Amino acid sequence: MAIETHDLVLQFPGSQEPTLKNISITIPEGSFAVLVGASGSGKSTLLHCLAGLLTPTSGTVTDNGEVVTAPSPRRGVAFQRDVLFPWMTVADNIDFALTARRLAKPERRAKIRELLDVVGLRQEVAGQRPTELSGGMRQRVSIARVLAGEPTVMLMDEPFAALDALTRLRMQDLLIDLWTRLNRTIVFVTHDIDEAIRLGDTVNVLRDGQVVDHITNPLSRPRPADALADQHGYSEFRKTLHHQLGIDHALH
Amino acid sequence: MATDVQMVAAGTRSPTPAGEARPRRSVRLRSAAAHFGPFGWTVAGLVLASAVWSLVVASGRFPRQLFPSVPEILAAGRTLWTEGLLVDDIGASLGRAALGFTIGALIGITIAVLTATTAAGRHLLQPVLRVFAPIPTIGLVPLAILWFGLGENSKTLVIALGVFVPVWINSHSGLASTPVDYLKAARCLGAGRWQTLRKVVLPEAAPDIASGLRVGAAMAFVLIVVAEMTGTTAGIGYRIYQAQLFSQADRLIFCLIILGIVGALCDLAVHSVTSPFTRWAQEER
Repeated sequence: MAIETHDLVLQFPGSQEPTLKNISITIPEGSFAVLVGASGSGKSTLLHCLAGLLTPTSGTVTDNGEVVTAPSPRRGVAFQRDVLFPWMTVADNIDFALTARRLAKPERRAKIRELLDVVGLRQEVAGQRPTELSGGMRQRVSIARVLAGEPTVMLMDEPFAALDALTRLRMQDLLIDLWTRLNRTIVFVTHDIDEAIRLGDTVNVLRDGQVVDHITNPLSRPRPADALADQHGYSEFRKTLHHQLGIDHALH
Repeated sequence: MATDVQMVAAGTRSPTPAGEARPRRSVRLRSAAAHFGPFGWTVAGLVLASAVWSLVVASGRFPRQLFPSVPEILAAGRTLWTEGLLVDDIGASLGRAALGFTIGALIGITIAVLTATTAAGRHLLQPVLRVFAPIPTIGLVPLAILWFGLGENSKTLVIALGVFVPVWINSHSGLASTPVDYLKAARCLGAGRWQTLRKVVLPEAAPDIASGLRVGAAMAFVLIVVAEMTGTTAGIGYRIYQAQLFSQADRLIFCLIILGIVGALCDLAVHSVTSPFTRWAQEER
């Protein structure tokens, strides 16, 4: 079972041409797929279609065989900005997702403790407000809140883009660890080629609203950040992605 | 020695005890100002205003009967107190203001939820209220008297209508401008309409709702004067009107000061009640 798109077209009202043009992709269950592309290539729009936040002009998105028409906690979304509710504590933010699942209070309390543990946050953080946390901690809470919805697919829209380089690498480690332990499907949007190479099993390259290539990552796991460039096949893979993204044209 | 002469010639301040005294004094003044606190500053402001008023009165340019001195104003207040009128007037005005404020605020917030979050409210109510909002509430007093007579109901209606408008406008503005990202996040987490309204839309709009309530509270005190001019025998507004009829400027000014103090205290009360809901916005800044 997978999340799939069939001839997906999306044209915003008033725009001259479609933002997404006949996209057909299959993301198998349990895989770690990356959508990579430059700004304006349509990768975030595609992710929003997968989430059910945007209705395609034509074509379909199916999740586990069912046509996606609206958002569902089954497909958890981590946004570029963490979108934590600043008037709530960390615990209340996670509780928001658990309440939506209609869990009883004692069960919710236990689940909050468990989720903080899963994303590597101390229990004392539960009572703090998002404004008191660092960018990395906020994204950890955001991931915990997504996980609280018990998603089978995690859709991540450049969630680490605003973080500093070191925190970003740590968050990538956390995400790989979560993916390995929890066996969720992850669709990760990025414009960073090294991030795509490090995280994805498959990389879908988007250009001008089209998937121009779908490449299986030749690098074996684990892919530690400090030794990524030393791995066999890294340079070739990077060159291919550069070529598909049109970066070599832009540079010459 | 030559260096000292050059320093003086160049206008450089020599490190003499006299030279050091100036910055020390300013530091002391600043530290005293910091320890003064809001209450101290309020008292200082009132003392300054009294001094300016006393100067105006002492100038003799204005008739004494219309411009009484500060001791005369205080004496008029003492008379009101000893006659037992002051407490009754404050109680009557506060009661009316509180009732009108509660009704106006509750209706204002409820209608704002409807106009900001439902299509029916947006299409049906909003245009009507946009026409209603600019009508001065004072202009509705004759209509209120016509409908409800000179009794308490017309006074409550006038105050409630005056409170309703700013509460509705501010609340609607806050409720209608919930960031789309928050709504998207709530939908993706599986939250229903009620949970989104209660846990996302209302708390996010709390700072705007609180501003509306504070403006509404101030409006209640403006309208209490208008509402109490007819059909009552107690209240600060009634006392002001009576003082005007009998040319008692000292009593009238004292009542205005009391009205101001009570209004400021009510504003503080509204602020302290709403601040737990709006603290997040201050922390975010």
